[in-house]
Amino acid sequence: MTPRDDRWLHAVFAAASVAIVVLVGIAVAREVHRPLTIDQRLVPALGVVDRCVTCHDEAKHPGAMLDRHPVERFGCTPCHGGQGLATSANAAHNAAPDWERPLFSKAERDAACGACHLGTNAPIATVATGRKALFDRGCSGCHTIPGIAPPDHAPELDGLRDKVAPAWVRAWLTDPAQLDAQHKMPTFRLTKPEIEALLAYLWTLPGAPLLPVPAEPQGDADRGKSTLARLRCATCHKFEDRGGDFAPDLGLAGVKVQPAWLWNYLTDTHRLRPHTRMPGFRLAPQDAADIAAYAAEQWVPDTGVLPWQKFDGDVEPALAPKGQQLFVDLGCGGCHLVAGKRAPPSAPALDRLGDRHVADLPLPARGRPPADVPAWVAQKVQQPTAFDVPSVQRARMPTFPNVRADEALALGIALASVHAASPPETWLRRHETAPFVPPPGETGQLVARFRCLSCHRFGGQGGDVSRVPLDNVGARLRQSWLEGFLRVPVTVRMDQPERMPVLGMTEAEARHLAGWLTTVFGDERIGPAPAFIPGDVERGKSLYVQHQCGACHVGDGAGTMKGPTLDGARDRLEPAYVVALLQLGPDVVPERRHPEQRLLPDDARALAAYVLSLPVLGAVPVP
Amino acid sequence: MAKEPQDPPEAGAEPGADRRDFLWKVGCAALGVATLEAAGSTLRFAKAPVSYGPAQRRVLGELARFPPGEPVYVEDAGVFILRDAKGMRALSATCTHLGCTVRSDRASGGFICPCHGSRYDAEGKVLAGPAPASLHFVRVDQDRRGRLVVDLGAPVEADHRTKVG
Amino acid sequence: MRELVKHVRASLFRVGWPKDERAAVKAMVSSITLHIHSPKVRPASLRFRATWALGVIAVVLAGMLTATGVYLMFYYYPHPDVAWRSMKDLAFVVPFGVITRNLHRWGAHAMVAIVTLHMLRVFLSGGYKPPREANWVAGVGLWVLTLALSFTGYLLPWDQLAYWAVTVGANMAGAIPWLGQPLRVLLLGDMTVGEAALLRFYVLHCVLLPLLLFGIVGFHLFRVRKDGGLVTSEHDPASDRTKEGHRLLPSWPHLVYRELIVGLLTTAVLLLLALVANAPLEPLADPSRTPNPAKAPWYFLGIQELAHWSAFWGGVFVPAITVLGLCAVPFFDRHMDGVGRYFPRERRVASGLFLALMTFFAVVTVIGTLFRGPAWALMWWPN
Repeated sequence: MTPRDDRWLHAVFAAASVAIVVLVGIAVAREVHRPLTIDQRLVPALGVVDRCVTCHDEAKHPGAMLDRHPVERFGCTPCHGGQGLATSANAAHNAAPDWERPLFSKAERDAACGACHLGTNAPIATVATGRKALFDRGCSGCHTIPGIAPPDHAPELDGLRDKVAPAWVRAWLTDPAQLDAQHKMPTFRLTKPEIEALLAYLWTLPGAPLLPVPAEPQGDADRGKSTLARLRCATCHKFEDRGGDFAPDLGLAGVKVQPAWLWNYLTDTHRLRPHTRMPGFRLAPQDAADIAAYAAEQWVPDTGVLPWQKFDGDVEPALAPKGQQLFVDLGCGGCHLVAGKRAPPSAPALDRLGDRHVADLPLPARGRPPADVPAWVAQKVQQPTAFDVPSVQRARMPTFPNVRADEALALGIALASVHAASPPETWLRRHETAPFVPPPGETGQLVARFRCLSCHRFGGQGGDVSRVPLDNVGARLRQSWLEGFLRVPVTVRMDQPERMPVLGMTEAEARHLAGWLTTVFGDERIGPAPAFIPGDVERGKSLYVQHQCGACHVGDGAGTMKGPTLDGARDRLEPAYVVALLQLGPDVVPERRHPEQRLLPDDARALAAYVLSLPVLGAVPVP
Repeated sequence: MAKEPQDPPEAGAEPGADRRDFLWKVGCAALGVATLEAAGSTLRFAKAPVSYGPAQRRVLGELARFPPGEPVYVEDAGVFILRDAKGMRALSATCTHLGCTVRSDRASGGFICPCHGSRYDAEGKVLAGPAPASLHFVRVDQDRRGRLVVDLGAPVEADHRTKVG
Repeated sequence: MRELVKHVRASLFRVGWPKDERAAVKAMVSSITLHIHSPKVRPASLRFRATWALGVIAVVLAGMLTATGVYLMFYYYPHPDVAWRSMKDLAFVVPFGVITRNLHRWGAHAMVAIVTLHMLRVFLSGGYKPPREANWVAGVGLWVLTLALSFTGYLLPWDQLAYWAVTVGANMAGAIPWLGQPLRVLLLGDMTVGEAALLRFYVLHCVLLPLLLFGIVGFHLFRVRKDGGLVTSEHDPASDRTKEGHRLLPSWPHLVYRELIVGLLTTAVLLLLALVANAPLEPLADPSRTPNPAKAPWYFLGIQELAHWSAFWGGVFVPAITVLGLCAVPFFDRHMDGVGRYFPRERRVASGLFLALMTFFAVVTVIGTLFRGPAWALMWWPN
């Protein structure tokens, strides 16, 4: 023990004590600015603790969103992202190592809505568009996507060798845009040997045997054209550059498809293609031959040489096994049914993109790194090759034709609305009803045969060719009118290019379907038939003028054709429906296409009485 | 502490003793300050700045649930809603004695506390029993959807009514 | 009034502030806290290089960890739904929450390091030799307990780091033949890390292991005194074991004052650390998202590195044989030559072997911590 030690000890003691005082003092100084109380909103069911309201006043929230989504029930972060627990602006708004989710972008906010608002009719434009596009583009053919059904619009490939020439398949797989600028199938960036292999495999697929085409009667192209017009094929098919694009271009089909196959297809559609969306038209051999003759004359380019003719050559059967492997690897069978079966998903399930952080997703090799998950999806859809890992593997994702930027982003938003775990059931809003299951027996057979749901929607599901969903068709239309319409569809909506095709139903079939539709597809909002009283018609006429119904409807031969014509409506419409429409507004109208006018019961009854008194004047003559 | 914080023994009258004495005193004083700082910080630490308990402001429900006349008891808020022609009032059901929840007493038309028998009249005025004061009225309001909202943390005068409609 | 103060003081302190050596001795033996020390100490044991103060630092750290731990328990809920939120509350709303958690976290890391160094020091100076065998074994036990306390505390924040470190750690325990899986399930209370595991770890961390630690620390300190204080060399002139002898010094103030200063310095350094560096927190534990690589706590990364080569040999056999071997050492290495000095010629084999072992663990730990990247691949540049 030396004195020197002692001196040191005292100095160290004093220094350490003072240091502690200073250090604790610094800690105290850091606490001075902390507010004494912190305001927060708790949503235990969502695990939400949001302290945003400490700084932000919820009463100043723009728009009316909070009326339906009050903060005390929904919190802030489920819609806005960010860190609700944080009490500093930086920590609350930005990402950090312990908080990967900064405030949502506009796209992510839309996706957040989609987490609770399920279904393709969700009331958020981007989410609804995206969900429809996920189906239309065939995304759900390769990826499992909750809430999105696999696509039903890719042609079946059975018996392809009977349908088209090898050269056409080669040309299509090389560059479909050259054959059809509006093509829907994405391109897989195939090499020549890969195309040969795929072709060899496709040529091994058996189809239903073709019946021999009778030598008589000969087809007549002019008659074929008028048959197409009479049957309203242009609603779905395009020919001579006019018509819908819901189905293949008939001009193109005419030169692409072997005449024998086409004749067989037109005479008995569902024998060759049991899963097609096209209704069974039951064409007479003469009509089929006429249409085939017409189709064969179409689409000869200026040069006189068909663009795929240079791809001519023999199919090499030995390549078929390789082609089959390729068919599986590329996931072709996810969209194209073979022998009526769909291949299992060939690409990663997209069932939790909403939980992923963009930082965890692979970066594109070129281009700007996407800011959020929707943007990442958009970039992937628009430039799949940008995600190639050089020398390791090429992107399997195909290149989709004509993807607009807003559609790509909507796809991303729809996918980012999918989470592994849904919010609690009471938070969910399903914007579609259960899938429509056709009834068994004769009704089911008729529905399947005439493919009603290829064009019409029911409960948010089905095709979108027709603007008229079937949901409450029975409550709206009179059975007798419906029966006639099914046999010979008169045009009610002049403003729309899509017309109901002439399906060639027998009287018995039409009666059966009309009965089924009016019985099953009711509407509990529509009350019993009204009792009109004398004077209603006169008063209704002045109401008709007062409410300017003629701005959209044709009535008594005058008006415009924005809406369905009202002349002859008494034969078509159920009186109760007309009254309910005028009283309840557009809620009971298909697609809500009616002004938000809610009339008093007396007025509604009077106006209905007038409308239902209009004679058939301006109706389109039956073709 | 010790009134003569001294150098350790042996220090004696060696040279530098004054300086050592000073350092010792500085160290001890600093330790005292540090102890005070720590004690104060502990108190501050212990006061919880947020509450995960039920909120003071609670939505009671649609206005139609509370017709004029008989007081309506709202269980999860612990208040009686009194509605008359002049407006709405919310009477806290918490007994002013020891915090039990009072019940409405059909016989007298007032309220009675099950714990120690305090009695209140229909206006919450204490009539008998150990309760030191009348039942409290608390603020009641409507939110922007028109639902009734009570703020248990905001006492108001007995004649303070909220106009509704 | 003065009388009253006097009476109260007299009733609390059996002797007053000591004024001479005799009174100092009396003070030491009459106080329950000071009594853990002998009244007089050898000057040689007071030297800094005799102990590097590691034992005292460890005790002070244990005290600070207890204090901050109790504070944290006021705001911590041991349930997966809210455990991580508790961390956020400490960070965002609790006054002094950040520094309390920092003190606890850095104190825990420091304690693992200090206790390990303490063991190294004791071994190198031959402190495990007779009559101190039992105390050495107790020390090894305390080292294991320290690791266990740190490991159980690791899970409590319920962030990704915690969840996966404990998952990996528990699975390493599961590699023990026969016993492994039952032991793992016993520890976790379930097949995977979940709410049962969190509650168990909480109880172990806050109640069971601290009680064990305090008990064994009591035994450890008691035996230090009863086994004749610190081991010192017979060749040291400051040691009373030398022939000519040396005057013993009273523990008050020489030992007590030094201990106070070490305690204050430790506190100051830890406070400084807690003020400049925040304890890390990762995103909320997500059983569906494994970080790559998933790493155990740093002090187990040496074992994880070994387990990478062989789950049983590296992950079970080597650690088990190390702990058992440490416990067995004093019963085989009993000669007393060179005791009390660092690296004496007579003990160069023992010192060399032990240093080699420690270096080996240090190296694999550093490799596992810094040079292992995604998929446990070697990276030449630590990130």
